Amino acid sequence: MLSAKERGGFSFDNVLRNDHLESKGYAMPKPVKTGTTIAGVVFADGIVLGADTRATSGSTVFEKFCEKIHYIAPNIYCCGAGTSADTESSTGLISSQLELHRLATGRESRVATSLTMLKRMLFRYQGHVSAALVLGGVDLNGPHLYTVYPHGSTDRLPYVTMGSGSLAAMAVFECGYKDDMSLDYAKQLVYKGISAGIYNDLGSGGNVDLCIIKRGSTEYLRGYATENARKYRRPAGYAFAPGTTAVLSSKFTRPLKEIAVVEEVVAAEAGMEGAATPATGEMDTTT
Amino acid sequence: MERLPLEKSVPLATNCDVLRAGHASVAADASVLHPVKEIQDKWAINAVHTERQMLAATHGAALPLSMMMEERILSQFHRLGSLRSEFVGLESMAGRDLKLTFEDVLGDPSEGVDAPRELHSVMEAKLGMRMPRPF
Repeated sequence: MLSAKERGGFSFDNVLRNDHLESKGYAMPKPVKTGTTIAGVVFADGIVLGADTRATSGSTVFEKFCEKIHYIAPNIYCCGAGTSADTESSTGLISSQLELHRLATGRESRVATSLTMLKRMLFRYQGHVSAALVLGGVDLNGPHLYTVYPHGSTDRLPYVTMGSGSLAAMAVFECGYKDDMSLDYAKQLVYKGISAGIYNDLGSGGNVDLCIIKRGSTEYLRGYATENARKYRRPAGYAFAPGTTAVLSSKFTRPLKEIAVVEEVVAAEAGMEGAATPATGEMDTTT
Repeated sequence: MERLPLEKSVPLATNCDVLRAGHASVAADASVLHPVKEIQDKWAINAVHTERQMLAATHGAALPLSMMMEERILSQFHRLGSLRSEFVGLESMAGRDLKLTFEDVLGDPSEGVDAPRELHSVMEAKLGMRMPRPF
């Protein structure tokens, strides 16, 4: 049987080094965390998933238009909150495994299958893979909507929210949710929920993405609403006079190519040829 | 309690190849480097153990025993020393060929930067053969 070393996996080569460096005051950069609003609702014919598009690291916005609704299967999509690398790699892994599973069984993937794969994987890593997910899809048993927590626990509900903006979105859903909603009403509800997250939670921002999954069709609406569009741009533009920015120091170096090298050959040492022939040439061709 | 001879009570460094493996450090070997490393190393072994216990409880002890025999047979089909073995039969029996985990995606040893160790010296170490002592 293959040992853990032969099988590959996460590498821990730098753990001791990084601990040592951190104790000396050289901490590792923190991973990009998606302070996020993600949500989903069940409507009459399927599922509407929604997400904002901001990725942050601490208080810095790293990405204004990132994709947080990930593909799992043609009939299943998954919104991710948490460490963005973890959500992307874990949904990618499950998506590949479901593809393999479909090839082996020849059947459409079920949402429960992807849920079980995700929660088993997350439980295995005991919360170290920090992926908080909203999983939605339509299979032969109808529409399903789940939330998956980083430690592997799951909820099954008709309307769910996740991420740091989940409270704002949940407040909207609690107010506006009805059983058997129409598609237009469901889209509007999810949009309002995500929008509430964008406006009330500092970790969420950017645009609203929606994904509508119905029996036999999936529609991904990237940039359904642009909540943070630039409202004003000066029509004349900006013309800065030269010298607006102070120049502290400047240094000009001529390129090496422009320097000619002169070789002098002393007549006495030149021997039979007699005359000194000064040769000029470029740096890269000298002997 | 009777006293064990020293070489049995204290785990002496099994890998004496200092030039390749570096000096053995008891402190480094005993401490947990990272909790995820512990999970990565132990989880699969524990999962197999639990499954065997479950099979023994539901179908009787003979089933896991025969499966272990089959595993033993399949694990004997491998390449020499430093060459990588795929263990196709073993992987398929455990159902690992239909699964994708982080072990399949990250840190694939066949894509590693380390050059494979020389086959002859690996086989010599494995078979306990030693170079004759110099005079």
